[in-house]
Amino acid sequence: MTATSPPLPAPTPLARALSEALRQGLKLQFCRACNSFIYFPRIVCPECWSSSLEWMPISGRGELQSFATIHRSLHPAFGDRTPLCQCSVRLAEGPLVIGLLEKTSSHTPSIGMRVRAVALGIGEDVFVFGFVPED
Amino acid sequence: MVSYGETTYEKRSDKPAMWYIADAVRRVVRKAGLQKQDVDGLAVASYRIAPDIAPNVAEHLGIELRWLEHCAWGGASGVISILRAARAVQSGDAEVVVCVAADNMTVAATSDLLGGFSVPFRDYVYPHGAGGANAVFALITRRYMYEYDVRPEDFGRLVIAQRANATLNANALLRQPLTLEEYLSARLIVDPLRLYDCVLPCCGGDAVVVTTAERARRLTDHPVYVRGGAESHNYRPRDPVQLTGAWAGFRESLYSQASVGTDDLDLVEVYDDYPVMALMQLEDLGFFPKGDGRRFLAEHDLTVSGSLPVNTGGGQLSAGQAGAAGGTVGVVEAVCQLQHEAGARQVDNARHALVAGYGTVSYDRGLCASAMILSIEEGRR
Repeated sequence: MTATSPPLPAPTPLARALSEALRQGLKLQFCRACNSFIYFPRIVCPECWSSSLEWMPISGRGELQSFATIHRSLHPAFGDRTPLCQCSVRLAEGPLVIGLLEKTSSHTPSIGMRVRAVALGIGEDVFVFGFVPED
Repeated sequence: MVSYGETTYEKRSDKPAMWYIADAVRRVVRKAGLQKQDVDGLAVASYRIAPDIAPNVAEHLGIELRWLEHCAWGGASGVISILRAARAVQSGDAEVVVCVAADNMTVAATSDLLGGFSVPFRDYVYPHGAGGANAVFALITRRYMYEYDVRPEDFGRLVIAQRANATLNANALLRQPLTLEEYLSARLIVDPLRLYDCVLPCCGGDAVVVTTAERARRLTDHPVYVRGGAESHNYRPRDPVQLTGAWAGFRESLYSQASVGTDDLDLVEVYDDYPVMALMQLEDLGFFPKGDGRRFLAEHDLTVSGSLPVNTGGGQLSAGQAGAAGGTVGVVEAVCQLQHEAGARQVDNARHALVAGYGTVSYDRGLCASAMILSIEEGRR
């Protein structure tokens, strides 16, 4: 089987900043002007338009809003990894994050389930959000 | 509006998107009894003409224009382009506007498109398994089912009714009747979505001609009037899941502009990229109370001879989705019905129709929504 590189975020300043923030241990963009946490990463605060944005540590706790099991991926890199569980999580700090929920034998995903964010390495030094069920 | 045109839809083709644009434009102008030199406005919706954009369509077709739109609202573009065109002819900025949407779309092309669909989708969603738009709407579908106790067999009713309508539409790509067993047992794509919950990417084009009411009446005995319309973008972004669409926000204005209510509508064309969105549009446009979808589907026959004809040509789920043309399929079908040219699938005494649009999927939802009411009666100015 040929190894096909998975699709990565484009190497933009914002995507790189997120990757670095996750590598350092779970951080999210925060607006100092209106005290909002922000995701997906922005250039300006979507609440108040301020540019005073910085990366702040977060608890990683969240609640599953929905989940969907990918049986057919559109990219060959995931061919032998399906089924994959994509999920949307509302973090305790407020924002809605899309990520993959780690497969476990002990937990069946359910709406409202408590989960914990983890940094998932998906390429050469590239990190994205992943989730695991919270015990 | 005075005429509509649709190319022959094909599952796959070597013909580029520009071919389908040219074919649709030629058909619709000729059908209107007009000529190339009469066209002074153009609205184009197409992904796959890139790197061409709307001005290049004018260039390719050799037309000189004083009004031009490149439509960037995905499946909401069909409706929005007509609302904009209507304003243009009302104000005198243009006299004859062709609104065209076309694409040559395959599964591979859809995948390529999604990789670069938007910045947040490319960078923060697609890398998580490349589920594409199917994954976005699987998330919405699952939460919608959970909130409102709508079951797979309920969505099945909608899909099967649309397919029944499609059996009467020679240009629909999927014309085999579908049974509930087939619908429920089809292979999972992104759970809970199965094969028949997902559109078939294909090749095709759709167009209409918009002109002044006076000119329309000179050109046809069956003018179709735009009685009202609305658009909305990035509605309620703080909702964690898109369970209510923008149609809920503008429906009062829409019906008020048109002096038409849900009871007056003879047919409804909703943007059916997925069953959940088709149902959500009917809900948010006021056909049933929020959360009552299961009962609505049990109590209504959505076929062309039923209590509320919906997607009378089969919708995208049966006709196929030719990329950006998906948002104009319903427009063309509504005009066809109101001009009483729908043959075997003609809705009796069709006088008023609603067409809804939705599109521009990014991150976790569609950003754009639209709707308009069409009628064979002009109504008050």
